[in-house]
Amino acid sequence: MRNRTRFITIIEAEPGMTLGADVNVVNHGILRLSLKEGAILTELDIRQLSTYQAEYIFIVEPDSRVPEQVAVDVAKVANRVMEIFSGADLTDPMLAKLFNQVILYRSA
Amino acid sequence: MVAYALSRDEVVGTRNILPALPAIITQILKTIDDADSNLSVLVTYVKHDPVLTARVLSVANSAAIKRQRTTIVDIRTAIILIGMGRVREIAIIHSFADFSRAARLSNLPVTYWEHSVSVGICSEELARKNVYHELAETTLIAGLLHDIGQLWLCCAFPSELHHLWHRVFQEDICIEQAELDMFGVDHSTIGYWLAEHWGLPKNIGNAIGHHHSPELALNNPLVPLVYLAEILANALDLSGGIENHITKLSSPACRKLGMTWDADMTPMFARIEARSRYAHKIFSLSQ
Repeated sequence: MRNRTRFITIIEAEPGMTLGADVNVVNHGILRLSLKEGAILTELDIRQLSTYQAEYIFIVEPDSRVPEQVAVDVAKVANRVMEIFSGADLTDPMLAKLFNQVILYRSA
Repeated sequence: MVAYALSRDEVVGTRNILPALPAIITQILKTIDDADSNLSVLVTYVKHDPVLTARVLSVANSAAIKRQRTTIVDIRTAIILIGMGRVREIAIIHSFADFSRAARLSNLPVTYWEHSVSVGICSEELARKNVYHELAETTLIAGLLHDIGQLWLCCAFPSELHHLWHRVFQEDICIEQAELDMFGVDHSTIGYWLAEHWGLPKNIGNAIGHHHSPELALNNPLVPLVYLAEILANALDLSGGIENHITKLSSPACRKLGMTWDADMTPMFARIEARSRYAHKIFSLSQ
């Protein structure tokens, strides 16, 4: 099964969720807490993240959609991005880079 | 020839058609460099608003449960637990929701407030990313108020504005040009006049006044921050409005903030989306 990543607030974090990226909490220049990508969050981790006032984390979760549905969803969001940029001159290098970043993000 | 040649005196002379700017916004700005006064202003404001008190305590208690602490019942403990920055952000967005309720207008685009909140959050996030941490709250406020001139136009010229938006969509022209054609000024200038009249700091007024023309005031970091925040809010479709369009991007503004768009922007875009989602929730619950 495919996985998908999403950013959540610490308030939304639940034990058993998998981290999608490393978390390094630095407080007053001191590394207070370090959790690695792929770590399964425990009650203690969440408590510590809250204690050090970490605000958001990346999590990775199973994507239960069938490949056909994934393709439809990706096409739908890509169309919306193209609609938003429809009046943009994409020969402008800076604008083209922004457009590519948004497409990349939306297609993930 | 313009239909109405609006002047600064006319705009500020009829400023009362808008609700008063929430006092907390000016008080936070006045004490932004003095942490003790800022904390005291914040605690007083939160305590005097039962809905806001409940909101802050609810967030604090969610954190407390995760830390297996006892129930939090006072604002100072809540601030210690979830951080002053977070409480200040909740208070600013909550007060903006009060302002929106007082200014409820039937002809306002449905996404006006969502767009304003999104631009506020994007501005704050860009400030944090671009070593302007000390400007985070100021940029949040500038972002929330960036389209205040449009709100004034909506109050003063409701039917004319309806025709103007119709023209924008029919003829595919930019809103600033349509406003210049009809009123002789655009909403950025009207917003600048209002900000100046309200006594908001000059950098906020300039950010509002130049949010469609950042090249004219790049020395004020708030100007490229708010400009680029609006571009990102539209690019990421944060308000979901049909008016979300990108036609151009100011390279000088991007360069000023060191935004080359070469590095992977996924973490930043994801943060902006998560924070906007959260801010929209606070805003809609407070309305």
